[in-house]
Amino acid sequence: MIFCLLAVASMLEQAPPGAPWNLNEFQMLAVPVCAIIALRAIVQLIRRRVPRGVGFLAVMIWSAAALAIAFPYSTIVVARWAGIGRGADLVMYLALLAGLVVSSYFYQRIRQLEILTTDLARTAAIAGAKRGAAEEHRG
Amino acid sequence: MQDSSMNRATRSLPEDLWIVIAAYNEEKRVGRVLDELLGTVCNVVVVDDGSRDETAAVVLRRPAWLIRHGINLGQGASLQTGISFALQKGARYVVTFDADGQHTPSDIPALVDALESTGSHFALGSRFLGHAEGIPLTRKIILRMAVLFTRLLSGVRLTDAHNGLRAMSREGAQSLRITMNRMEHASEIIDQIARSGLKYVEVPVHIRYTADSLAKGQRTSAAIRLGLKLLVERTIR
Repeated sequence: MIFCLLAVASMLEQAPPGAPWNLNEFQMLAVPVCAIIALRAIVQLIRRRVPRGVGFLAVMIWSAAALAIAFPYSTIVVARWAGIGRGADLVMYLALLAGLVVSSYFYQRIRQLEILTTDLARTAAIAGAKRGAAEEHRG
Repeated sequence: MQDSSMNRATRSLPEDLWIVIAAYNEEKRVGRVLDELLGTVCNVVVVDDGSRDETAAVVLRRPAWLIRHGINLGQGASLQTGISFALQKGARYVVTFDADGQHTPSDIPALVDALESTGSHFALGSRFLGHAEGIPLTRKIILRMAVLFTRLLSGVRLTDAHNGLRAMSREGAQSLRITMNRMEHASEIIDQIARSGLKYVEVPVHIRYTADSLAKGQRTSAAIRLGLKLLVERTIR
């Protein structure tokens, strides 16, 4: 939320009065995509199709992405507010943290699935336990 | 192969002692291991971990229990399956034993005696307190490093952290829940023993290394991967 407010502030700071926004090709492609995904996340949140926390997080992340791409100067504003030298450094640190969080999440999910699969295989295996022949087995 | 120490063991091994063996593609060796064990122990369960050879058929020609995993899950998973089965059958003691002939059945009485005489719930075999016949130098170094690694990770001081020959009481076996399916299970067991607060003791055992067992054993690169996996598990979970 703070990022969004600061992005709006930088937008007002950047745009000269009356001048149209000057977006490059990447911005023209990426901003609408991020905005659409953010809108979709809002709709899913309103319709309660996702847990509330997940929904809010998705809306914030995609909105922040759209604003950061549309107004790159906003990353500098936020970085300075956070005591980081450059906007690019801020984006890199956030991407690194996000990567670690996502890796940790998926590792834990994989481990849970591994444990569930093993328990399932174990139950089936034990149900089929057999005892071998009790007669003379040497030879 | 039965020696006089095993004959002495015949009189002392409890009837509710269960041996758990995890086996994967051991058709050539598991038969001999079972022949050595079944002369003196009533209850042996072999967990065939998705073998692609005749391991299951070899086991079923002997009066041992066979449990088959539908897919290869790993030694850790197989041991937990065997332990769970033994507990269901009312085991008072559970001993884990390798299928490749590295372990000596005559060590089993000493493990059980250690449990009973010290009131411990885990008796962990140590080749460095006992004897490791034919152990290569590189294997010795890796095992010593594993001891140090275990000490750093779990705070447990052992002389042999990766020995598959271990005995546990019913309470000890019930306290374990092996979730690491592959070779990391050995460190997980030590970790869980430490966290359980249950008493454990190390017992000298005799390990036999043969060309076969060395060929099938852990490579150095696998040991390094194991260590990294344990670190990741500790950090993330």
